[in-house]
Parts: sequence; structure tokens; C-alpha cells
Amino acid sequence: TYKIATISPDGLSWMQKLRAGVKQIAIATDDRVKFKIYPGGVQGDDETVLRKMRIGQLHGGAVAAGSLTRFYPDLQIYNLPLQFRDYDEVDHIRMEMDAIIADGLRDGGIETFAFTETGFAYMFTQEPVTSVADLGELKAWIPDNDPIAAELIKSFNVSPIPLNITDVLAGLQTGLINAVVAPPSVALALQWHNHVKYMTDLPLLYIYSTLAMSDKAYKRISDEDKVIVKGVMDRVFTEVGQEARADNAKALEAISTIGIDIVQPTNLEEWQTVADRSVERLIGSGEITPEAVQLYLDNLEQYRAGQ
Amino acid sequence: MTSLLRTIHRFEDGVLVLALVSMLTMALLQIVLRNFFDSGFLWAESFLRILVLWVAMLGAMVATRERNHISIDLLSRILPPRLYGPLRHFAMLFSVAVCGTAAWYSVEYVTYEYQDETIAFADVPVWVCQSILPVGFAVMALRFLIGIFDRRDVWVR
Amino acid sequence: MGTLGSLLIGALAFIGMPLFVVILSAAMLGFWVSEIPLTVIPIEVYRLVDTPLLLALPLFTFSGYILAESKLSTRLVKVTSAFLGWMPGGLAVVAYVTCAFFTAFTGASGVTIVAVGALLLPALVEGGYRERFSLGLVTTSGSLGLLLAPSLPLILYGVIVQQMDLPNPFTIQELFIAGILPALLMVVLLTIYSVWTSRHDNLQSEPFDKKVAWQALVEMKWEIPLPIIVLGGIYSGFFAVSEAAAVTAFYVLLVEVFIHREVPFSELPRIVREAMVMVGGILLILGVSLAFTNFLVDAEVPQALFEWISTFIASKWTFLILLNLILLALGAILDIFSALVIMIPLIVPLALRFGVDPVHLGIIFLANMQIGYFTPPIGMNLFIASYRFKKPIAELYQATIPFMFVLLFALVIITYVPELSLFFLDRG
Ligand code: NA
Ligand code: NA
Repeated sequence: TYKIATISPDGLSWMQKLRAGVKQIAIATDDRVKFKIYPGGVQGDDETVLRKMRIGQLHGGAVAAGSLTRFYPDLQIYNLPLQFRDYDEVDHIRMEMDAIIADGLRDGGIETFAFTETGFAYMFTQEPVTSVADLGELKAWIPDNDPIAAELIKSFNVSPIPLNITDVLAGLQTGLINAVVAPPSVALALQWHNHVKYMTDLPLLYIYSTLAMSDKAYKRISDEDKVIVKGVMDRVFTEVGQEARADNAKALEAISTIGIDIVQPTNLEEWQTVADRSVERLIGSGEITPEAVQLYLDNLEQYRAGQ
Repeated sequence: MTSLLRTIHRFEDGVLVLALVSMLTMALLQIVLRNFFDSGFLWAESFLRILVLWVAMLGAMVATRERNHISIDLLSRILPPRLYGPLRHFAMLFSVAVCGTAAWYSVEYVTYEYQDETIAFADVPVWVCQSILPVGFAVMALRFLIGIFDRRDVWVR
Repeated sequence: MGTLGSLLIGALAFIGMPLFVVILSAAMLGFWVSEIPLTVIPIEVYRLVDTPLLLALPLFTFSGYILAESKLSTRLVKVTSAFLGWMPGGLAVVAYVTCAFFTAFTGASGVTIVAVGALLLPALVEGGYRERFSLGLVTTSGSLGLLLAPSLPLILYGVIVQQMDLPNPFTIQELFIAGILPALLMVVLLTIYSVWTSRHDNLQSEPFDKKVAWQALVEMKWEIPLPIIVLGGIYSGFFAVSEAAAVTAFYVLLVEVFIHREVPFSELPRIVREAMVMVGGILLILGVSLAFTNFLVDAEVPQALFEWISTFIASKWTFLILLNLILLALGAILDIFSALVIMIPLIVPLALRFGVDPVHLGIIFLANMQIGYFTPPIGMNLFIASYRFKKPIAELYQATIPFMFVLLFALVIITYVPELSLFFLDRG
């Protein structure tokens, strides 16, 4: 039995998909490969899940891609601020580069399946933000223990307030923070939308997650069973990503009907300059290699040229 | 020997008191910075939480020294001393084994984090923050061991 | 092997092996049987760091220790008797209100009986109450504020449950609000009982005197803002709980050390040390119980327990009867912290599947524990009162029994009227 954990609560529709997939794998492999799922963070946050994969208590986890940087730092190329402009670009680049990232992670000892889109994160604020100058007034939430998010947000001249995700709602209510950056569906699900008034129409960064298995555990599966596992899991997590995209589209529509004003950013060039500078800083601090960023940007440019 | 021990105990007490003082100072400073200057230390939150862990381990170490741990203890008042004495010794020995095992595996855990070079906050690596775990469990094991040989020792004050 | 080990650990627990060793060894045994590397234990203990709320624990405890060393108890009795003393049964009300307030702030460490009870007992006897009644009253009141913020067990319940990541989570503020009406109910019922039982006694009441009342208020002027800082700050959402704890600690330090000068500066290291040894002990128990809980989760014990229990219990209401019986029995033999860390991980998932709200459950849990403080044979407050008032423990058993029945009645209402706890909350 392979034990996998996630912080996602049970009962979400993607969990049902995962459970169905797991059942399918068990049947197809004659119970040789069985998965046991621990949802709702009962095994701890992503960091704790990774620690437990190291010691062998757990064999895998559905985690945010950002938590896997120690195995392959360059998986953050997709998270770079304001580089992707729309989902078409995402789809094209991911077709080109997902395999490179998966290979990088495999070298680091982590086996992954199809990456799952969480979506573009937008900025939700209590005062309208259109220009880079408006950002100076923001006290924005960042996940605690996330130095990269802190670094990113600082290059935008925003005061980062690290909080546990469970404290964000209270933080918005009390004015401890006045801005969050999140995909629309997440902002709705966690009730954050009740405490912000504006959304800036700018896809700040792309967020994704993945089912990660430790290669020690994955190697125990026979080659023919691997084909089955890989086939089912890839399908499940691709579908989950497609569903997330649909959810985000619906959430974006809903947002304008529930009293949140969508404001258009002005002076896009200035935004881009600041974002590019923050990428430089990430490269400079060694968080990500210049080669990977270059490859990513070249791919992006090629695609845009072909349009 | 006793004066060395006393120095160690005073040092231990001192670190424990210092942990609370830093906790209080840091928390207040953070409130002031946030409310009046719209700023604050990014690492303060992580630092405060690690202080909580240190208070836990240091406080428990001192509690072990003073036999001041919470316990259920239904039988010590009922059992005759002739029976209770050996049982108590066995329980002490058991505690030495349990804390010793915890210390052993804590070393392994800290070693993993050392190899992974994970960072807790600012430039402080996680393994430094965790180092109180093996130290704390080892010290407690040692203190239970000493308790076995100390005739005046009791579980509960 | 597992059964044998469990029996051994259980036996060692009862001869007084520290609770943290008991839980730690149980976790080790469990993981060992499930063939999981024991490295998981430090990983789980380190998760203490993942709980932002925990910061409030050392800070509030520190404040409580300082307040206990100051003369707040005297001032508190003065103020409450000046304002409530004129009522029928006024002195009893004074005792209940004072104790509830004092316990909420100093935690359930027995300090209420030592500091406040010792002032109130002679006052009650002098006021015409029978001695046994008075003795029972102060012993019972020693745990009366348990349901009120910022009491330590209340925060601890919140911390432990939040670690479990429930499908319907709650904030610590909601828990604090939930405790208000049930605590009030207890005070009202106890007051009614006091008035009724001493209706033939020649009670003296203190007429309201504006001057005395004003004087008492003036003496309390520095401490009066305290509940406003803590409760107002937390309930209004102006402070996070840990921030409120820091501000409270600072304020208490300022008032008792520098303004009243009742706690000498040179004594502070000793007080801090004592407070942190107590907190450290509790935190370590909490840490190892995280490991034990993780074993339960990993082995899917709560699910198995639920399957088993639901074979003979079907409704939420029968479940709650059973729950109360178990908790009362546990409260009689365990101290509150042991009961909290041992029972919450098992009971909460179970209760949720029977449809009990986790906030309501917390109030039920603590109301049971509050009664457990003076249930024979191991009620901690019985021992403290026996020691403090130099009375044989048997006399205290007798003195507290009528009060126990009153609070049991309150418990029934609290259990079966969830609205009492959830009235101010927006929880479906
Ligand atoms: Na958690
Ligand atoms: Na008890």
C-alpha cells in the first residue's frame, strides 16, 4: 500500500476523482498497487509531508509545486511574475517544458505525474490598484515560510505579511493585511472575497501543483504496473487541472457580480519592468538558474513570434 | 562537581527566562512596527514560533530536573512503599529508554535537515532550530537516569 | 506485542510516570507496530512550530503568574462586593463572579482557591453562610472561569483541534464567544441554589454605598482596562489572540511591577521561570500528543472506533449522553491537561461524524472537565482546598456534592441546547 497525503480537504471534487482513479489502479493491477489517501492535512502541511516521504512513513503527496524547489529549483520558471500573458501561452509552453521539469525532479529523487493547474493568481485589494505606485500602500499576505514569495513581493515594493493560510481571513477582517494574491476560485472558496473590494485585472503569476512520489517508493512498482499507474494518474491530474481552469473562469465571472470591481492596470510597461527586475533578482540570489529562465523566455518569444 | 552542576542549572534557567523575554519583546516590537510604522520583520513570526518550541523543551528539561511533570499518579498514595519503590525505579528506567530513543531519532532528523540545508528564517537553518529536540530529550533521559540512583528522589513534589 | 506494551504503559501511567513519557512511549509503540520509522516522532513534535496560536500560551500564563503574585485578588473581592453585595445572596454572587474572572486570567492552576478562596471563605462565614456551604462554594468556584477567555484549557482545546484540520474549522474567537452564555448559566444556577439553600439563614447583606464602591473602583483603576484589552481586543478582532497575549503581558507587567509595585522586580526571573516550567511541561505533552495523534490517524483508529460505536449508537443525542458519562469518569481520575490531550484526538472526529459542532463540543468537554476539578477521588481542587483550609478531604467531598449536582444540571442544559453555545455565532 502506498500512502499519499494532501492538505486539500476531503469532499472536494478533485478528491473524488483521485479516489476513483486509485480504485481503478487497484483493479487493473489486481491489488498489487494500492493507494491510501490522507486528505485534509492530517499528515501535516506540504513541508511535513515531504519530511515524512523522506523517512518513508508516506510515499507521496499532492503538494504545491513551490514546495518542491529543493529537489529541482528551476521548476519555479512557471511561477515567475507577469511572464505568461494568457492560458494559450501556458498551454504551449507547458507542452514544451513540462517534461524538462519532470526530468529535473526525477534527478532530485521525486517522481511526478501530470502537473495540475491551480490557475493564474490575481491581486485582490481593499483599495483600487492600477499602477505600480499604488502597491506601496499594500500590506499583502504571503504564505509563511516562503522566502521566494517574500523576495518577489518586496521587489514590487509591497510590505509582505507572512501568515498561515488559515489566518488570512481574520487578517483581512482586522486590517492586518489589505491585499491577497490568489486564483479567483481560491479567493471565493476561502471567503476572502467578502473582505476585498477590487481585483486588478493582471495575471500576476501562474500556480500549479503535482502529485509527487518518492522515487524509493515508485521503484518498488513493477514496470508493467507503472504503466497503469502513470496512465491513470496522468489522466486524473490532467482532468483536475482542466476543471480548475473552468472553475477559475466561473469564479472570474462571479466576482464581478458580487460587488468586486475589476480594475484595469495602467502603464503595463512599468509593471513589466518591475516584474523583470524581480526575475533578475531571483537569478542573482541563486534561487533559479539563468539557463532555465533563458530557455523558458526563448520558448515564450518563439511562440509569440509565431502568433 | 556540585558547583559545576549548579552553574549548568543556572545557565539552563537563564536561557529559559531569556526565551520568554525575547518572545515578549519581539511580539511587542512587531505590534508597534506594524501599527505605527507599517513595517515589521519578515522573520519575526517564524522566530516567535521557534521560541515556543524552545520554551517547550527547556521548560520540560527544568521540570524533569525538579520532578515537576504532570502525571496521573493514582497509586503512589495507595501502594505500600515496599512495593511502590521498585515499581517507581522500573518506571524511571522506562523513561530513560523512551527519552533516549526520542533523542536518538531526533539526531537522525536533525541530520536530514542539515543535509538538505533547509532554511527556517532569515539565514538561520532549520537544523539549528531543531537542535533543541535531541539535546532536550537526551538531557531528560540523563536526569531520569540520575533519579534511579538518588534515594531521595520522588516523581511528584 | 502491541497489547502487552499498551498494558505496561497504562500500568506505568498509574504509578506516576510523567504523562509526556506515557504518551511518547504509546506513540513509539504504535509506530513501531505499524513499521513506521520513529524519526516521525521528532517530525511531529516539531509541528509545534506550525501552530501560530501557541504563542498565546506562554504569554497568558506569564500574565496569570504575575497577577497571582499581586494583590489583585483583594481588590477584586472589594469591587465585586461593593457592587454586588446588596443583592439577595449577594456575597455568593460576589464569590462566583470574582472566581470566574480570576480563573479565566490565571488559568486552572488552583491559584483561584489559594488567592481568592482564602479571602472569600472567612467573608462568607462572617456574612452568615454555614461553613460547609461556604467551603463547598469556594472549592467549586475554583474552576468556574474555565469557559471564559483567555483560560488556558480553552485555548488548548482550540490549538489541539486546529492541528487536526477539520472539515468545518472554527476560529479561537468563536470558541471564546461560545463560552460566555454557558458560563453565565452556571453562575445563575449556582446563585439560585445559594439563595434557596440559605433562605433560613440569617444572611447579612451589605447595602450599596456609593462612596465605598467608588473607592474600590479607584483602587482597581489600573486593572479595569485589562478585560477590555483582552476580551475587547480579541472579540472585536482588533488583536490576533497572540497579539492580545503580548499586550496583556506587557500591561500586567507595567501595572503590577512598576505602578502598584506589588511584585518586586527582583522576583521576576523566579516568576518567569516557574511559569515557563509549567508551560514547557504542557507544551511538550502537546508535542508528543501530536505524534500520538498522527499514529491514530495513520492507523485510521478514529474511523474504526466510529464504525464500532455506530453499531450500537445511532443518534447524536445518545452519543452525547455516552460522551458526558465518559468525560465525567475521566474527569474524576485525570487532570484536565491529560484528559484534553488524550481524549480530543479520539472524540472530536467521532463527534463530528455524529453531527456535533466542534465549538459546541469544546464547551461540553470543558464543562465536564470543570466538574472533574472537584469530583472525588482525584479532583485537584479538593486537594488544594483541603491543604489550604486545613480540612480533611472527606469533609470537602461532602461539601462540594450539592454544587456538583447544580453544575451537572447546567451540563445537561449545555449539552442538549447547542444554541446556548452557538447563539452569537454564525455556524449552521
Ligand atoms: Na495542521
Ligand atoms: Na478530577
